[in-house]
Amino acid sequence: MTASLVYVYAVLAEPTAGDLTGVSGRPVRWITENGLELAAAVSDVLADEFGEEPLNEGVRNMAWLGPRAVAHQEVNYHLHETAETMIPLAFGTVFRDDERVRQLLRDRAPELSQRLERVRGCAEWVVALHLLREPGSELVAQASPAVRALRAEVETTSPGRAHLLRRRVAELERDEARRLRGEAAEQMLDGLRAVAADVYREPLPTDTVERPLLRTSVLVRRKDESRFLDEVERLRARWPEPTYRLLLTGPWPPYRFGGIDTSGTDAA
Amino acid sequence: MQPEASLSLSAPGPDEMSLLELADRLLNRGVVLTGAATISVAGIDLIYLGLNVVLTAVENLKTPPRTGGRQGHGDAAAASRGHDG
Repeated sequence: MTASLVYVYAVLAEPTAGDLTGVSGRPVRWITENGLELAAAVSDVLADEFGEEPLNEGVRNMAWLGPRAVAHQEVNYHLHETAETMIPLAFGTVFRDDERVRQLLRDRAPELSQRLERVRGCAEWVVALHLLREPGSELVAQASPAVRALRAEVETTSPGRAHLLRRRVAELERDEARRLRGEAAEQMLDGLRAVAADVYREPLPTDTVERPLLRTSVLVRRKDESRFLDEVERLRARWPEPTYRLLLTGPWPPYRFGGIDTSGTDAA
Repeated sequence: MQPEASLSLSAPGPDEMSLLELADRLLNRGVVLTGAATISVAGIDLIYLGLNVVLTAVENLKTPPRTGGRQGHGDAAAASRGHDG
């Protein structure tokens, strides 16, 4: 079986210049529709490889997925660098033929144009905060006036009372550690929002090796990039290793923000 | 697999997108244009679901996608398959 399918990388306002190579080494070409300021970047793929069954089997296998995911991202990386705005599609968006892609452009034209405006001039970043170990008592004391005050009292009070108070210090440190952990996510979100065009709080996994306290996709205007990176460094210093770990990747084409609905994105 | 998990998660910087992050970005999306697409990928939460499978491959595939460089891909991941969702 050598039937051909159409693999779609992204939707732009118009075709870009230059030759790109897509998955399976095939050239990227453009599908447009008369009267619409929309263009889909596509390449031809074999149904043997990208039909529903082999595709869904393949994405579970990193040896299969790896090079194809890289090829997908390379195309979108170049389009994102070249054009002022683009909507990158998810890996494995496959249509039966060109006409179905034109139909997509026609049917979703207003929505696609709106999304293109929304992410114009922006890139997307991923910021995650992991808790690697419980905060040590020094870190808690630094961040908690209540712990510092109680510790000071222990230093100055009578030996008998100090003995009792020490137990209360330990309890308070545990409570404060829990509170600080809870607040970290909210405070980091506030910091990111101040420099971002939009922030999307990703759902957290429940069954992983390292459970993050917070995972976000952040939409940042390219002109604000240095401000954003400064803010990330400030946040990294505020939640330092080895207790915490802040992970940053980007700039990505706006995979999240090109796709998600504006309403309710930044919900807590 | 535990130590490898820490190792790979520590790595990504602005210019070092791991394959793990890449796959997560490309597959784990809020909304895909599924209404119009005739074929779509099953909604796999890859970064979490296939963590162990992914990690073995990350070692071989630190290619930052943006540079355009490519490396040969071994069968390391295939050898550790066994997660079928």
